[in-house]
Formats: sequence, structure tokens, C-alpha cells
Amino acid sequence: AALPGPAAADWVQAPLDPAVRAVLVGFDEHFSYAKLCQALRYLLRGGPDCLLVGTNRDHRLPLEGGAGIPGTGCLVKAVETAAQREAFIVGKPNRFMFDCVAGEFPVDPARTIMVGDRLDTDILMGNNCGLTTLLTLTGVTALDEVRGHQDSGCPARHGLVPDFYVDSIADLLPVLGE
Amino acid sequence: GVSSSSSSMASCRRLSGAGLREVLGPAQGLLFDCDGVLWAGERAVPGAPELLERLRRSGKAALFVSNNSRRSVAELERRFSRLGFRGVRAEHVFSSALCSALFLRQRLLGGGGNGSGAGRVFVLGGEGLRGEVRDAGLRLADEGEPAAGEPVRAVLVGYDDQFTFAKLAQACGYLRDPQCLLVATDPDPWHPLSDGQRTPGTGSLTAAVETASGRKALVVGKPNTYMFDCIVERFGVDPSRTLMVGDRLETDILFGKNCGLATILTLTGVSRLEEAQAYMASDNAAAKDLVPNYYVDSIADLIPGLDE
Repeated sequence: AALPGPAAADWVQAPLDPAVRAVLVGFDEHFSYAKLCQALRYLLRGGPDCLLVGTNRDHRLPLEGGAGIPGTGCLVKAVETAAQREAFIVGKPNRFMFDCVAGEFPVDPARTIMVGDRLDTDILMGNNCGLTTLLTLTGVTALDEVRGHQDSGCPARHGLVPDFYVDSIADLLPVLGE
Repeated sequence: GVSSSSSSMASCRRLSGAGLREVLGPAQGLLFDCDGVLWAGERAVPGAPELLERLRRSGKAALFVSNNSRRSVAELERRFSRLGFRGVRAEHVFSSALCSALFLRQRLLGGGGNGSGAGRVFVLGGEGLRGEVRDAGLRLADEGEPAAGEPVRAVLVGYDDQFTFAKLAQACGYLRDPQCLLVATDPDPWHPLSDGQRTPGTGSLTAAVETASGRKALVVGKPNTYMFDCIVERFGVDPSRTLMVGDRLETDILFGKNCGLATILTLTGVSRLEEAQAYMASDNAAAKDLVPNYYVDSIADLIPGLDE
């Protein structure tokens, strides 16, 4: 419903829907302070009984030429900061989505390859779920980033290292028979 | 004396009776936060106007330092008057809006030079903040403006109740230039409203811009010390003879600690006494800096500490 009045002092007088038990933050090109305000109100009203869920934490969606637009992660961070609580993130690297796939299809992790361009989402989820992980270099990640994690002494960073990489997924074609 | 030792932890003592006179007596001046200290919404804290009057009569300075970036200092001067406070002039008031403008003037206009060539500022905020930036001699980039023209040399994030995804994207576009500054008026995650609800603060908007741009903002407001530098430059305040009075441990009290001021927490605003006591009991070294030297239920409780 539209909020009354032009300013925040008016918006906080609008009635809240008594049935709301979760705030879900996804990609929202119409995100606004007014919506952030309403989200905060629901979270304060419900306390721990109102879930705060985010679809993913991606910072940016890359476009051609190095440009990009803000990602869902920015909006999740705004809500988390205002509410001073952490969101449950459904998307990669959380294994929840893999569990959804495995629940619908007969997937054997030992015989499944996860293909992605992002270390802290695609590769990390694949490694956490026991999949073979394959990095493609047509996206956000450059190879020296991988080397950095490999050479670090930090076990957490080793989870970001893929089993294999290709320059592009087209490189897989030659090994697939007719 | 009133100086706060930088090595020992403050002990959050209630200020009253003889202790009150011992602390206030030697003080040359007091810095006050505004929201939750002098007023709550449109109501002055009972006794607050009288306290300021008694400070004036005692020859002690009263200056004001607020993270609220909504209003220009001219608007704040009118607000003080409207709420019953006498004799407070704009020059006594240091808001994060004013100080952000001063900061940007320093960084973009530097030592001398006129406005041209300094670049423009993209402001995420209301008319009060935009006015302070203009008054500092800087030019604003407008929303939805095409990229051509004088480059944007700073993005300033303030309290912006008209914040949108489009403005966030526009800010990120400017921040692709590593020479473009990212500045935030204050770090406050939320502000209380009179009926107990909360409204999101600049901190939540800054978090969105930082996440999208991969940059960390320079934060002008409390607990950072830039606003104190502005005060010292204009009035030459001696920290060892000055008290900081505020209602928010994470901003006002930490600001006092960072600037070498003894601190008084007043309980008419955001922070509860239990929170100060929890910081005092915490094992975390950083928590100690959030403990006030003293506390009062309201700043009206300071009145008996002043001479008749």
C-alpha cells in the first residue's frame, strides 16, 4: 500500500500488516528509504519471530566495459545495518540451493561438477557440498586471485580454490562425444 | 580536575551532590549532543533550557555537536529558539552537515582557489545538507545528470529519506574514479522516534554505497574527531577543561574519549545505563572506551552543580 505523507515521520504511522513474519531482501531496482523504513519496522515489531532473509550477497552485477550496477548484497547490508542483525542468506555459497537441487534430482556429488566464475559463491558452495569444482575465466575472477588463495596459509581461503579451471566453458566441447 | 586519563577506564559514576560541584566547577565549557539530550522530537527535555541559561550565567561555554545531518545550522538556530533555548547562535552549533561541508571544502578547494576546477559533489541527502555544501562554496551534481561536465569529485552520503536504487547506482558510477571521495556525514545505524519506533540512519545507506563501490567511506561525524577539530579551530577549546554530554555510548561517549574529554551520559535518549554497565564488565578492550566517566538521569540534574 502507498505510504501516507512525504516524510519518514509520516511513514512510521502507516499500519503494519499483522500477518508479516519475514522480511525478504532480493534484487530491487525500486529499493527506497521508505521500503527500508518499513523493513526495519517489521523486524523491530517481530524481533526474533520475524525472519530476515536475503537471496544473495553479490556486491555488483557486472555489465560490459567494466561498468556494473549495485547488487542485492548492498540492499541486504542496508537492512542489516539499520536493524543491527544478520540476514540468513539463501544463495551461494550457502548449501541450501544445492540441497534444493538434490531434493528434486538424483545428484551424486562425487559425480557432479559445479561450474562458476566466482570463487566466494560458486566455487565455495561446490567445495562445501563435495562437488568437483570448475572455474571459468569469462566472468569476474582472474587466475592470480586463485593463486593468492592457494598460497595463503589460511584453510578458510583454500575453500575458494577450484579443482580445475578453463578459459571458457566452450573449452569443454572437445571432450564431449557426438 | 575534569581531564580523563587515557589509560584507565572510566567508571560510570552517578554525578550528584559534592561530586557534581567538583566536576562542573573547574570546567570551562560543555559540548552537548542535541537529540535525546536537549530535546526529544519537538519537546525540550524539562530543565534543559534552564541549564543552558545557568551555564551562561556561570561564564561557562556551551557548544553543540550533532550527528544529525538533516538540518542546516541556520535551521538548528531557529529550532533552539522555538524549543525555548535562549541565546544559542548558529556559530555555536556543529552539525555533521556543516562539518561535512567544511571537510569537503578543505579537500576539494584546498588552500585557496575559487570554486571552478574543484569539481562537483553528489549529495545523497536533503535540502539542509545540500545547502551547507553550497554555502561552503561547492557545486552540486544533480540527480540523473548526464556524465558530461565538471567531474564529480566527491559523493557525500547523509540522511536521505529519498534514497533510491537509482541514486545508489549513480553514486557508484562516480566512485569508479578512484579520485572521487566517498564521505559520510555520520555512522548512525538508526535514530529513535518519539513513539519508540526507529528510522534508518545514514550508516545504513553508507553500508549500501560501500558494498556497491568496494570503497570505505570517510566518516565525518562522531565518534570520529573531525567535528572536534572544527570546534577547536573556531573556539580554541581546551579538552582538559571541557566535558562532553551525550546520550549515545557508541557515538557521543566514544567521541569524548577520542578527543580527550571527560564524558557524561544522560539517560533521556538512546542508551540505557545497563548497556554502559555491560561495556564496563566486558572483556573486550574496545568496550572500555564506550564507558562514560559519569551519568545523570537528565541534564537538568547538572543545575545544582553550578553557582547560584
